[in-house]
Amino acid sequence: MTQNRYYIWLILMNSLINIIIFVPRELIDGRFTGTQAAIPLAVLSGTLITFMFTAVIRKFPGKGVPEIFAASLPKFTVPPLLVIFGLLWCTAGLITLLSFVDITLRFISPDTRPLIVLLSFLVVVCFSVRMEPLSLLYGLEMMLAISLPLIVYATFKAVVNPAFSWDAVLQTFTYSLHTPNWNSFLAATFSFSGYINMAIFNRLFHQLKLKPLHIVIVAVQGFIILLLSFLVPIGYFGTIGVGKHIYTWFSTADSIRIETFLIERMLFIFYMAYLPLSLVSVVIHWHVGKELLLALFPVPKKRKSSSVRLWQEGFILAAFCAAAFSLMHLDQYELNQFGVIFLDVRWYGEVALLLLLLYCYAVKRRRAL
Amino acid sequence: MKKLLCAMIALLLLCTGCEYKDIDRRIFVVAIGIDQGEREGNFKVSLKLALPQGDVSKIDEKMQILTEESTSISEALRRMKSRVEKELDYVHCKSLVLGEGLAAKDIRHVLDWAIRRRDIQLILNFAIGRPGALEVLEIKPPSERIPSNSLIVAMSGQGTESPFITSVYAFELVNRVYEQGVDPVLPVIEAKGKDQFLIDKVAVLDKSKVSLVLTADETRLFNLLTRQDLRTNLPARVQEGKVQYYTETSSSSYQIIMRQGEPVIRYNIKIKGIIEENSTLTEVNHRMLKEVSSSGGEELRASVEALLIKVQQSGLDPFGWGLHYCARHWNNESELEEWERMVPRIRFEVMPKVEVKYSGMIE
Amino acid sequence: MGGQGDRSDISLEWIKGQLSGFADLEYRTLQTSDDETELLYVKSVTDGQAIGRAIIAPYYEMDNSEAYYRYLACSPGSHTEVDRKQALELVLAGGVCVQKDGRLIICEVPKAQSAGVRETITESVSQGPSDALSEDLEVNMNLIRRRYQSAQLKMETAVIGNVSRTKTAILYDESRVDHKVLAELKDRLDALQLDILQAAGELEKYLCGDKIRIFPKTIVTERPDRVVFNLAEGKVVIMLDTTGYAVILPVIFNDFFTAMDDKIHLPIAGRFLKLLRIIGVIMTLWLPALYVAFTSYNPEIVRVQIALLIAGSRATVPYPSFVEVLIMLLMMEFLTEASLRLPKAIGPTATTVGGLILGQAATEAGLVGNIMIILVSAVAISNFMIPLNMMSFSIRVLKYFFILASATAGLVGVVCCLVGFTMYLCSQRSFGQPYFKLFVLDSLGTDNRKRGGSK
Repeated sequence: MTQNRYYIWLILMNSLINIIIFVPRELIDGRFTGTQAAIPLAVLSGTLITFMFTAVIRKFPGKGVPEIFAASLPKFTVPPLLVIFGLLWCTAGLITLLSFVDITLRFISPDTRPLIVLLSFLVVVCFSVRMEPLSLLYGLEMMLAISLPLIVYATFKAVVNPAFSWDAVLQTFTYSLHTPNWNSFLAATFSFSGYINMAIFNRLFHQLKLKPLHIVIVAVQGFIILLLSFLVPIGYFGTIGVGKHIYTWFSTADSIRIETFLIERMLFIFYMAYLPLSLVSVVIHWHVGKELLLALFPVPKKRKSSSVRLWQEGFILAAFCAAAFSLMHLDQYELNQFGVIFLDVRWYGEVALLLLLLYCYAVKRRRAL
Repeated sequence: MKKLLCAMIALLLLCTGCEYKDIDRRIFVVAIGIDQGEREGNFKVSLKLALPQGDVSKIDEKMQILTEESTSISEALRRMKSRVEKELDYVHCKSLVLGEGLAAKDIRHVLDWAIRRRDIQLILNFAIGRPGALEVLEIKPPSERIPSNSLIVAMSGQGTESPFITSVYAFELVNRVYEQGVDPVLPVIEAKGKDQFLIDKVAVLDKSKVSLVLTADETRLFNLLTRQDLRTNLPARVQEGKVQYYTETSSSSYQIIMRQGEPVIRYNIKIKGIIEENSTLTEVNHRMLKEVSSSGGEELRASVEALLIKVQQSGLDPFGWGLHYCARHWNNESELEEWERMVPRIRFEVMPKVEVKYSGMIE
Repeated sequence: MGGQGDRSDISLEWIKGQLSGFADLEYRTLQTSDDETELLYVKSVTDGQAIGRAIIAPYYEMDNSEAYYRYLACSPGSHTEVDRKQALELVLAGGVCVQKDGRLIICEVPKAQSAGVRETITESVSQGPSDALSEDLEVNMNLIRRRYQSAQLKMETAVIGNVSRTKTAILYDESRVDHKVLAELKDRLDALQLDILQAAGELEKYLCGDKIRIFPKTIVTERPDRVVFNLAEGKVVIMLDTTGYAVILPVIFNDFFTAMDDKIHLPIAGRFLKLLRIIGVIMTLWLPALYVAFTSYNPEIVRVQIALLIAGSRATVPYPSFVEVLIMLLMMEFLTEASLRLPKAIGPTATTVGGLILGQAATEAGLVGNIMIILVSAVAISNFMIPLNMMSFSIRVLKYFFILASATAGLVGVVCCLVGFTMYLCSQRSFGQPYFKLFVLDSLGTDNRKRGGSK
């Protein structure tokens, strides 16, 4: 049995990773046009969807989405659905990866060739994607244990800095009465979509219990992280200047000085905290994508089964990597646009997946009767 | 898994040595100075380079200053590259000094350049150099061991706790330049000969250029009003004599209130002090402490009010009153105009609460 | 176990039943023409010669069985009236059960192996026992049984190696061991096909099938107290005759950073020591790699003062930083290896001379920077803070991976390497048990169960 805490980690991971995946930028773009109202809405709807999805998938203990689909949906609909969802997950990983390569090149190693950075990320990711899902959860927990204290430290340092302009934050608050902004809403719900990885990781959870406490944790952590990722950059760059920065949070981290340490710039600590986290999130997203796509291939017969599986996995991963390489040529605005489109499409995908699962559950109930 | 590991090693070996530049093949730029060029529209860019020396134990600072004039900053930097044998590295650049002439025209171009370049940090200290940036960079105090260290330390407020120094980071400057309802400030560094500098003034900019320079005394009060726990001495007058008290803790806050339709900014200043200097030659007693407190408060009120009125009359807003006002009003479209109409009518109420608690080591 | 106090049904058969699965249990019947006497004892904790002299010889010398019984009852250290619990304890402590006509006497004939026991060499502790396991299996069993007097401690024997015929003992505490692990171990042992088995470490290699292993998945120890501690934690111990080391499995990563005197120290001091070790590992892994990253790729990370210091110390060095690091690290490895092989008396001299003079001369000549020397010494020292040799060697090798990564991609490479190895560690299993994860969180909810005194 896998403990329930891994479920929380999955959600927390997505929540924290939003900084990489253009969420703050979307939120800040809408700072005068309704982000403030969109955030509570996103918290509500995100928690609700999380709760519903978990409640449904609990009815299929130990099963992943491919098995559920295969059991309850008409045969011909399963492969296209799996392809669509598989690609969605692949894209999630891709965007994290590409924007992190971009961040690395901008902030850390301007001299290094982009290809080497991407290559070193891909080596780690591909190596880890093939691991057992349980090991991935262990790894995730470990990475969170490394990153979370550093992130909390960075955020704490950011907020207590005397240069932090509370007036600017208050000024943004006065724009709260605006009607919610749909784009900000879609972006903000990303913080909650960690549950969606349960589509595959549910195979490990046989006795997932969702206590009220869990729901509260999900809602509260999402709300706090969204608020911080929206407001802290505003405190540093002002209500107007903040729009000028591309990777808002990394620029924010660059603005914090540590007086008493070997390393003077918070940027590097922040970067070192986020690198493991984003790599592990890419690993998890791609693992889910890989498992979904793997269900398309026929299960090999017993003889030589491991080598056949290896080839299948290798093929899928090679396709993922090829996509990463081919998308490297995107310029900054295209990449941003790509990320924003993904954020939107993802939400519809999530809702669709939820509805499909509800349908599957109905089918299962009907059969049982 | 094993094969992947091998592949990883092979890849790493293949890539080794691609973009490899050792630290001893780089030369660190520790300060940049930008002046107006001889020709209109040109920039005169000066770089202060830190040259590492082999023997660390010798106190022997080596530095070099490069100057180049060109139509753009980038062009000047590229040209300077061919004048040194090593690669110029800006990642450790900690201060950017703008020449006074340039600051009187427009700083936004330079600011944009500084925050746009990815290898220049956002915790870069900005300052105005008087008479010019180059003169400031050329200063070499005898106490300095690492090139430009004294400038860095003084400007960032790490070393000296001088009440006259305001440190301004690039991110703060860019925040204030673009924000509505607050105006940027910059410290002014004056070169006094070849081995001394003086930082005791602050310049207030109207978003793009210097339009008001505060005196040293005003700068101290400005810092008192914007910073927590400013360590300074303040005067008080008792019994014909002068007493100086040292502020152990200080804090200030303000509210914008409307009194009968008229805007009033009320400053609350709290200071806890200790007597440092006493010219009255009388023994200090409890009554006198109280007297020092009250007369010190009076004196403070008069000088702060004078500063506030001076700032108000200049039409600038280095304290961010406008933003403060907007942040507390919900009519987002009209609040700024409303504020701007109000500015000339503002009255100030300064409420100093000076508590001198100790008489020092003697009575 | 029950049945305390009722002496009536205590019998040799009952004790024998309790001690089933003891490969070193000895059961004998002494027979003369008219009657017989049963003897039961645990071979490894009793003195065989003394038994022969004091128990078996008189039996044949005295024909009268009643007299023999009385002789036994009067001899020093014998007990006639015991309950079940006491009986078991006595037997495990080196008692011999003699049953004659339904009457039971337990005589104490303990064996204390101190003569043949060496002091620990590779895992020294400041306080605490200093016996090491010896090359003799019997002696080792004695050392362990004396420290773990429980009927639950079972021992099975096997012989491994077609040629070497190495006697192997598998020990475990039946009530605490994970039977899945035990079954898997037995499977793997059965599948072993080899000719020669000479060292405990070798067995480890054969047991964990993976060919490229970077981290040890079993502890190889020479300390009986570590063996006992791990037995109490429910682990399985394999002991080989002729080696002097025991193999403990399954293990988790953290076990390698526990020294046996952690428990002797005060809790805060113990934790501090453990923290020191972890910092030591981080330093030895990262320092050289970070040096390469900071000097060649990311000089912006450290403060300008430090950057200038490094640049100054490297001013005369003619080659890139990773070559410098590799040269110095290799020198250090040579020194370590050499001092291991040298006779004990010369070892320290060689290290001092080599380390001091080499370092001094290298900096004077301008071949390596000053800072490099400090760094290499820090790396060398912190590497030896790991209590268990196997892991210390792994870490020693591992740091070169980090250097390689940082020579390729700077800081990014180092962090990627860290992520890669963490994920690799997480994917490892030691006999089906997770090898590396945040075990702390697992034990947060549950109370400290019957853990063998661990913190």
